Amino acid sequence: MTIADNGTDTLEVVGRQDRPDAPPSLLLERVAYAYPDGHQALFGVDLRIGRGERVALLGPNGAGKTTLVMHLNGILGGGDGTVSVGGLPVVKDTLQEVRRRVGIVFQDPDDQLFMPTVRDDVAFGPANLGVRGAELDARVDRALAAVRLGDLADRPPYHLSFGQRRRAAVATVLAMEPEVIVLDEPSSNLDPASRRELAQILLSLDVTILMVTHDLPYALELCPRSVILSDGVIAADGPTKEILSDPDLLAAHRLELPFGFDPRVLG
Amino acid sequence: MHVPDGFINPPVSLAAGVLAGAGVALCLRGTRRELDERTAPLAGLVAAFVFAAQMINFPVAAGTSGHLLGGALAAILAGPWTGALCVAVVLLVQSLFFADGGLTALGVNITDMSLITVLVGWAVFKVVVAVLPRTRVSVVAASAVSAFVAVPAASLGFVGFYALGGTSDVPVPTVLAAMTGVHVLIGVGEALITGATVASVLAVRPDLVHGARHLHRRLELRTTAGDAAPAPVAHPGGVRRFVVGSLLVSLVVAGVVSFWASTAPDGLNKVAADTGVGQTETAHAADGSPFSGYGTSGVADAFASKAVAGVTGVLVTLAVAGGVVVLVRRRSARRAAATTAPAQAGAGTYAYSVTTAGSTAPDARSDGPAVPSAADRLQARYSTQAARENGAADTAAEYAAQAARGGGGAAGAHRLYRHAESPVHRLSPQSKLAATVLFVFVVVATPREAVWAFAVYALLLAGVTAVARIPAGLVLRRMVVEVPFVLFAVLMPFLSRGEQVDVLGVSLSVGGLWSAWNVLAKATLGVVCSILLAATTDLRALLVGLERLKMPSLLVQIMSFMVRYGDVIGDEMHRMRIARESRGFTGGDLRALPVVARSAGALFIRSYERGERVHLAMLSRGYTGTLPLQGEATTAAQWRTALVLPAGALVVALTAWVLR
Repeated sequence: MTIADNGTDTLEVVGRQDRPDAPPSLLLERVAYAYPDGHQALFGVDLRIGRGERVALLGPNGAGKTTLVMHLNGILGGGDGTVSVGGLPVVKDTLQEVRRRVGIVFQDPDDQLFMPTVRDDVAFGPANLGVRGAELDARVDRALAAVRLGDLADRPPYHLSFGQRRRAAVATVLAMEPEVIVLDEPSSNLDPASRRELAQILLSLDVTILMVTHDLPYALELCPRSVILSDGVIAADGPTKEILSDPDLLAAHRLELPFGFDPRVLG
Repeated sequence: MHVPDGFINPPVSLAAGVLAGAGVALCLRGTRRELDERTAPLAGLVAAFVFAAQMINFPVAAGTSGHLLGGALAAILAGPWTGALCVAVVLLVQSLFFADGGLTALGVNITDMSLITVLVGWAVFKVVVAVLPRTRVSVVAASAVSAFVAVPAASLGFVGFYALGGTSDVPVPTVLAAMTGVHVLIGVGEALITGATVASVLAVRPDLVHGARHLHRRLELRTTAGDAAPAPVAHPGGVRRFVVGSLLVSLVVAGVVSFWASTAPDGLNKVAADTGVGQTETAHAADGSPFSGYGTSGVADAFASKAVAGVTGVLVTLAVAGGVVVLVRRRSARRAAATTAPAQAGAGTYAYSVTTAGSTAPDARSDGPAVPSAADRLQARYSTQAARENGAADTAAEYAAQAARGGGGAAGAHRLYRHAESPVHRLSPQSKLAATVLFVFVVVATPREAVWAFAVYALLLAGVTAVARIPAGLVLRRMVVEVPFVLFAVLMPFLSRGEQVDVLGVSLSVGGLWSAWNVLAKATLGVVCSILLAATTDLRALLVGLERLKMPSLLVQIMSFMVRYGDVIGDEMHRMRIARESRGFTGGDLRALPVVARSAGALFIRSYERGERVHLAMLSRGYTGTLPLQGEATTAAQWRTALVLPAGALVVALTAWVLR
């Protein structure tokens, strides 16, 4: 493991990289950003996530995690540095394609599921990309099958359980056939069974995953690699198990393992 | 004050529809200027907020209660264009999805409650803000004044429509007096809640108060010691002056009202005015009916006049009681000011109790008579009817009761949908919508003396019910919505005669009875027709149908968001109520208003912020300005089938006109 100052010298841990020569799914170089009110949230983030990797983005509240996520599909931008997705730079002209490639699953599924039925919601993204007819139906069915919600397709989102809504939110981005899925606190408010179901689904997907979370055991379960974002820079980058086994590092960035949980004991 | 079908004649209804359509189109353009590309999610969420906020009830006087109309509030918080648009969307959804407010009266309702309310409210607000010093207190006071003026203005708008195309024989001055009297009272409650809600949003997110933008800029430019001090929210003195002032206005209006009452030509009124105070209870029963105000005029001159007198009595009572309470509160406010923050003490001077009907009605009614906690919808309806004497408030209770059983406000409407395989279900939503609207128009245009024609209409609808395999029980249960209105209409002539025969002879008139029959028959048929539409067409299909019928896509999007988030916002309000009560807050307490207003303010902020997040989520999935709701085109055969109903009705109506 490498603890990098200001995001330099990161060690790349390769997950399921099918083509080592392919451009990385996400490449951030010296990304800095200040909000219009003058508050600066990012101070030069360098991050490279290879195709097929599953990476946890850890960090205390206010570290800039959400700001960083908003850069990945171009909702925020205009500061310093560059972001590229699968080799495609995020600029105004590429936004539509970038937003297809990067699917963001927001923390509150009610923000994400805004259409009258689950099916409509899953179809929203691909329809915006111009997909229509049988192709659209097939995509929606595939996405819903992947999150095991096929039988609830015609229900209003309001009638789903919270765990089902979270999975439906995952399906809404899956239907866009993204290269990267970014999840904001995917395990929050889930009961243990829903949490496990979601983990199984995420592990079954053949995409690059970046997961923003405070849930360190969940990060360990799902992501071979972790990155700590603190005060707007990458403070650590390495195998999740090693990061979680370093109490001083965790304490320095206000991260805490649940009581009784010791990653070193796990195989 | 949702106008039912049959109260305004078809030509005026149509003209109002054109006016409302033009107004909504203008608002759509204006809203896009106010909210740019975030229009659909933000306007939808603000509409959901208005929908939820309308469940806030406040007692107007002993025994009567009003509910927030929210036009002025929405305009001040979200801007006039957005405010008017959102109230219009709420009315559209209520009429189309909840059978609340007649389909043919939609134009009247939108013009009245959305366009006039917001236009007058915003104009008054701007004038008052311009006159008063540039402070937050002024914005709060201006909000209250504008809400106070906007509500009676809407009632005047209604009277205008009534004068042009009312179907009953009640003289316009009588209707005017009754409507204004009732709505001045409602205006006082509206003013208090609007002012306090704006104050609470100003305290937390001043940037979200559209009407306070001039303040925002000024604060950025100046940094004097005065502005740096903690923001005064509602200064006790200012609020108290306002309360006293509005009570004075109420008294003045009451005086005018009784003047009208005593100079009206039917000669009954002197007696009525003399006995007015004593008859207060009867007047309440009338005013508080589901069609408050309108019902009064629909029955008999005699009764309406007496109601006016009663309202005068109420006004006097309220003014006296309010004055006493203000005096009492002044002392306690001083005490409170010594110990609590100025803002809280100031708000604490309100003397009106307010309870929030959360999204589970039966147990939310803490100020009504005992409501069985496991009350079914019917019981909830009746028990709340007794306490909550405002038609629309009752409807809110209705939605809420549905929410308790069916899992959500809008979901309650969804529950109305009965899935079945039937020729009616298979028809495209657009053809069903068109058939429904046409049918109701034909019904409304039928001469009221042709009783047999209405029987044929009822048979036609019964036929549709059978073909659609909708259990008659479902329709009848849902029609319970109308039962208080039916009882009221049926009982009123007897009640009135019982009391007046000795005094005056007769005069309560065949005309009055015909008017009651007219509204009753047409409104009931309209409701049944709407129920059938909602029972055979799910919510999503209705939205698709509207889009297919060339309703502007942006408007359909806003409706879609409103329907989607009505539940979510309602739930948030419910959770806030539980949070309040679990910390010892009791809804019936007289000091409840500032607390409820803060909840309403917080609800607005949450709604708005959720709208912003939804917009982000939409952008993240490539939103390009349209919601891809897929629907199928209607075949000619489907159109033919759907139009059998209005065509049959048309034949009946024409026959009725010929035989007349």
